Amino acid sequence: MTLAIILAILALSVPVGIRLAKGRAVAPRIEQIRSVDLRAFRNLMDPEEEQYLRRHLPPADFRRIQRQRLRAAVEYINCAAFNAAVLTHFAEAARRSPDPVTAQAAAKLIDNAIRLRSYAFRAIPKLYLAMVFPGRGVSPARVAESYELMTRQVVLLGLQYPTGEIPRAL
Amino acid sequence: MLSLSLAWHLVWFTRVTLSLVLFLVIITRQLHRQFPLFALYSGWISVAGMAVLAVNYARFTNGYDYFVAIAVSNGVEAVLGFAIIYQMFAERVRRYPAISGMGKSVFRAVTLFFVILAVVFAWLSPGLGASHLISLYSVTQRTVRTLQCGQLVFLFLFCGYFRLSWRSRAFGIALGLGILSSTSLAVNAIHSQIAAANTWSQSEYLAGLVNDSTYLIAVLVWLSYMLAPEPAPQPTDGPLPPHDLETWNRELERLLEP
Repeated sequence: MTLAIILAILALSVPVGIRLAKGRAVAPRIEQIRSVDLRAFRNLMDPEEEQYLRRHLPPADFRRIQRQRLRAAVEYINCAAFNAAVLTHFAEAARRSPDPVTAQAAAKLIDNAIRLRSYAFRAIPKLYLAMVFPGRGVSPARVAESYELMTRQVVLLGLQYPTGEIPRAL
Repeated sequence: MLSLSLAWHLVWFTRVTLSLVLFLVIITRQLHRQFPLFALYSGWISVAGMAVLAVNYARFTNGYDYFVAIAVSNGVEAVLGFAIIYQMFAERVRRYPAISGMGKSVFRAVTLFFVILAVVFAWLSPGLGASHLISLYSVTQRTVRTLQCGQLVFLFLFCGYFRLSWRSRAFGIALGLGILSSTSLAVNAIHSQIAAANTWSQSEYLAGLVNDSTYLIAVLVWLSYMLAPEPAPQPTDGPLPPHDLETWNRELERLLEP
């Protein structure tokens, strides 16, 4: 009976997966891009900042504040990953441009956006783990680097292809 | 009112006929150049479907011949199904170098995980059947469907997470395979429970009818996607906002900051 239930759940997860894949293919809008403050994010992830707080706060307070900082970092990463998804859609359109320079810039942007989502996918579980064990150091610095690289690609793409409000939103 | 057996045979005939139509559509529209493995798959399901029908109605064949025909037909179909899923995945990630290598490694890891899972299932719950051969066939079928479902779920979730673009027909092929494998797995799971409690023949007819009806739906899905024109890629999704040089300059200045 247990096996039958497991198999039925696995079978049901296929239409759920199809729904998710199809639902996410819906074209996003530029207005959906959320602002990400990279300096604040870097500050949250700064090991020296963490050490400073650890030295100057009682352990219970440090754990509480560190959890809040990590929660904020997860929010930042989620925003950056979401922006990357929106940009992937716009760059997909630009990649089909007859102008090879624009197409190349768009391909680079897609590459960076996907890389960022990949880092985000790996960083978020680590941050949640660090929330459970606040003393455990984490540094998803690659997310910040990747986000900066992606922002640069948006600007470069914008010089050849009208990306309008996107750079301002980023 | 139609008997279960008659309804099953009607669905079976329709499914085989439509499989042949699907294969002809693929050939006449020259879609085999775009989807060679799927063309082979559709060719196989139509030829094998007709062969199994012939074995079922021929006077000189027995139950064992029918079983062998079904096993060979489904065996080749399963191999082609795996090849299509892998090809679709490789095709999706090929254009994205950032995740191409990682994606293929994860795909292999997911496949290995589901192989182990299917083997554990087979160990814990050997198949039910009138003979050892039928039990073995039932377990193999369940193993294949478990693996295909796992791979398809991974394919859809991976493409959904990274927002990898799907061409309409490729999505249709994956959708049809998803309908087929998930329903077949669910039927297998339910059938294993019913067969344990009730008489063998009635549940067997019912499982056959549901499986062939699902097959018919999958063939209809493939047919509709193959007949529908592939939508031309849109360069943008609406009127573009005007160039905003001021914003770009500000952005460049921000990037040039030490």
